[in-house]
Amino acid sequence: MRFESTALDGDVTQITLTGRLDIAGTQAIEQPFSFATTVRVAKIVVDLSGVTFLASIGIRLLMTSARGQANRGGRLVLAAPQPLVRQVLETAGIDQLIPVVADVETARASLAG
Amino acid sequence: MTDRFRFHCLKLDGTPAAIGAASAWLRSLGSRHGLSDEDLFHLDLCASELVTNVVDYAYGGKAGEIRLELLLDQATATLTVIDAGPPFDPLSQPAPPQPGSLQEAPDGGLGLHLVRQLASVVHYERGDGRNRVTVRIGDEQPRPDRPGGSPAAAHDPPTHWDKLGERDRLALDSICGAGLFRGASRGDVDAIVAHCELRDCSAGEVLLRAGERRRCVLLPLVGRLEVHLDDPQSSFHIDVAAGECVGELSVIDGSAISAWVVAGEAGRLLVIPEAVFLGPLLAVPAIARNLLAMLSERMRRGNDQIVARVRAALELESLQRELDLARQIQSSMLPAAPIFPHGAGIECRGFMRAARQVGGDFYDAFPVGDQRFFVAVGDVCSKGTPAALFMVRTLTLLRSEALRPETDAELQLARLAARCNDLLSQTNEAQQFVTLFCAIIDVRAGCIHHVNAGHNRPLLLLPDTPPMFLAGPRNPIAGMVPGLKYSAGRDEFPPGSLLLMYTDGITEADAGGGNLFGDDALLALMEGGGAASSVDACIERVIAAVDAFAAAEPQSDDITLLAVRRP
Repeated sequence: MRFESTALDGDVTQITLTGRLDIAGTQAIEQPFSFATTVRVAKIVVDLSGVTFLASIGIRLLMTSARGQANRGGRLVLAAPQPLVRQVLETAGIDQLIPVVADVETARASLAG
Repeated sequence: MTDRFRFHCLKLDGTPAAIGAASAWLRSLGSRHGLSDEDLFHLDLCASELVTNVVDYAYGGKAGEIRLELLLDQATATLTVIDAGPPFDPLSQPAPPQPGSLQEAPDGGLGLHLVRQLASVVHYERGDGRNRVTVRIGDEQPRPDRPGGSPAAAHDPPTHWDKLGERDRLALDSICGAGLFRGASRGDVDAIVAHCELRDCSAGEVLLRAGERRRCVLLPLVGRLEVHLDDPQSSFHIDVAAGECVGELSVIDGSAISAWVVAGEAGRLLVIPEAVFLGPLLAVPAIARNLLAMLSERMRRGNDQIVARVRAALELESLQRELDLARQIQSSMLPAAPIFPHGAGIECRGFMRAARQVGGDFYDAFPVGDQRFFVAVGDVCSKGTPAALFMVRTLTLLRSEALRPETDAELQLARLAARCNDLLSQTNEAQQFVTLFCAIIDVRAGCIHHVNAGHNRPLLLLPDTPPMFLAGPRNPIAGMVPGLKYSAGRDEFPPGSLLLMYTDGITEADAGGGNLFGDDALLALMEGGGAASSVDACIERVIAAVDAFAAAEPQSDDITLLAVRRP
């Protein structure tokens, strides 16, 4: 599981996750991901295009971060999930709580406002 | 047909590492089988969630075993996760409500929610101290809109085929001709056996326990199994020969095993897992037909047993009805009270209580002329229906003989006894006989004529005289030897006299341990007056005394009394 954080224009942070968000994968990125997404107010795009598997523990991490950011007044958008990952997000009802968009560009555009 | 399925299992210890190991195992098997990416993803997800659940909750960090069973069949994957933790039914957990906002969203319950949404079937069962959660991924029929749901790829030869010894190969050769695998191709049998366990069993080893829920079918390859219905030590059992199987009903209907299965001798067993039995094994037409034939044979055998039992019950009931009828006929043949009308110059009362449904005792009393009354008591030597039939013959003969016109009562009684003896002795293959006491009371002459054919001597109560046993000639019992002569006797029978006739059911009433009522007790009972005051008082006194004496024991013989008195 890989974690990359990139600062983009317009005070947007892009976090790119690659690999399986199962228990081991989630545990591997939990600390940096939480740090990057919750310690300060930010506009965050989480690029999920490299995520090949998503289990409930991964969903919980995404939700915790999104909730933390929302509590501070920031925003978090999920971008470019693979179809099966998207299906899991929808099945869990996460797309109703966290914006899920088709690609990083759309995410950046939605955060720019 | 059998080349499209694979059955696998994996044991894991209940640590977090198990979750990743389960995923890797399933992914590898699933992709080799040709599962679609979507099904693989869902299988992986369900396994991750279920195994995570077991690791977190069932074992809570402690050591415990997790077993995974995977059946890959066409485009379907059926996964069972088994743990020995406390009972936990994931299906009983409520689905988490769709939260209105991130703040409300619950953290728990999501994993099981995903499992329930993504698996086409989710099933929970508790048994043998284990939780078993089964999920099915993919449809039974591959959907056209799912290009990944293609039939399985071609298969490697069965994984542990090479491990089979020469002995097992020979045993398999022989069972292909019999039992469950009769007529199945060797290829089909080999493919099934490859997914089964082969093991030795020792003589007397208990293989299945009644009341248990086992998920396998046992098939002896070598040796014989015994099915015990009551307990494993019971002597009655049904044999299961090599090639036949046991445990299939429990697997088919999911109920507990109904009997004990014990190895009758040391042998070799094929243990067929439930998934293999219900899936690929039954998919082989010859095997399915053999199983049906075996079940219908057992059902028919069961039906035959039921029919036999019902028939026996009906026969018993019908016999019971016939005996009841015989008893009714028999008691209707005895004279009913009042035997003689009031003012006839004589009082008479009879009493009979049969020890069995129908008895061999009888009594009779009827007028045979002007102021002459015939009375008789008899006891047929055997019991039950043959005795009753002999008794009926005797009674009929007595009646016809007693009613012959004859003025000399003594002569008449002697001839009556002799003729009864002659007629009963003919056609008496059963070698039965009867003891008889007959008397004619001549009220006008104030005397009693009597003949005794081997019977207990009656009690005579004369006014102002101590009770005594009636004296008179003794004659042989009737019915055994024809052509005998019988002698009769005569005694005074003035007003106030009472004659008590009885059978040995009275004097031989048993209080237990051979302690019999006896003649002396009967005689003593008649002393001190009162007994002679009426026939009713006399009989009631005897019955009460005998019942009190033998209260602890069941009545072993018919009890009969006949009292006749001149008022």
